[in-house]
Amino acid sequence: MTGCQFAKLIAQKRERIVAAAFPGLTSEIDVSRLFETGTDTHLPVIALFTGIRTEAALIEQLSILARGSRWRITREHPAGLITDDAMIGVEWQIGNGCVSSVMGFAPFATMPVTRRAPYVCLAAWPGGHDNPHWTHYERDIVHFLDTDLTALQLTIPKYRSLTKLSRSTTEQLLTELGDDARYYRRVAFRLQGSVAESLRDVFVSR
Amino acid sequence: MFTMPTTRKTTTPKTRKRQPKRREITIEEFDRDRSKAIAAARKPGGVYVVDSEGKLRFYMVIPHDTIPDVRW
Repeated sequence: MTGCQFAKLIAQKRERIVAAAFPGLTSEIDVSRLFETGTDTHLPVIALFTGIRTEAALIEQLSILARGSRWRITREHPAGLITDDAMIGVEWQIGNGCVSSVMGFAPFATMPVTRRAPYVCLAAWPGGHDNPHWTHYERDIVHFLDTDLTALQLTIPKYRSLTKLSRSTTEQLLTELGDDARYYRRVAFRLQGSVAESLRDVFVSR
Repeated sequence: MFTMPTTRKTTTPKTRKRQPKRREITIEEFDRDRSKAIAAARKPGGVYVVDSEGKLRFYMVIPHDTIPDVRW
């Protein structure tokens, strides 16, 4: 369930994403191979981990990713959020001097409604600051907001109206449970607090 | 007027949708020739990336429409 109108539009285009399904716990090199393919094709990437069914398995997968030099797993503390849950960030070194802030999806009740999916997924824009409409970007980090939207041929008013609609729809989806999209700017996964302990050696500080 | 119900004939679709062939490349080929892997991922049914023993590492696709079912 997404409020993002751009994601909906991208989904309507041919050859708009690179998707890969990984049957079990996967080496960080293989996930990097997918992300590199996204960089090469100039397309967003989605990695589906069809064999991961539990938080424990996801933690194991994150630990595997953390062994690779291109991956960083961070403990996030979003301002204004009081929770015992573990807020986990995932970053991938692109190779253009930037890191890609990876978005996570999972079928767990702790995840925000806009990030729930049947399978554990990692999704990212592995390119540069390629969205000419988005000028408030962070220099060394790219998000989905930086995705090249040229294929959508959006005028400035259309881009603005889609942004406004995305914000209001996402807000509507989240506020019912007292949640807020701003908590998840750098958060890939929201998991039970008890898992944070098992990731203690994996987290890197900013 | 009363008419007896007739047995409905089963109809076979005139054009049968053929399953795309399972396209495989090895992880070595994937690393050696990335453009070949990308071209394979763009074809219907995507590409299965396997190790030297034929074990599946991952399935990759750049979909034209809905993402096809993966056949493990």
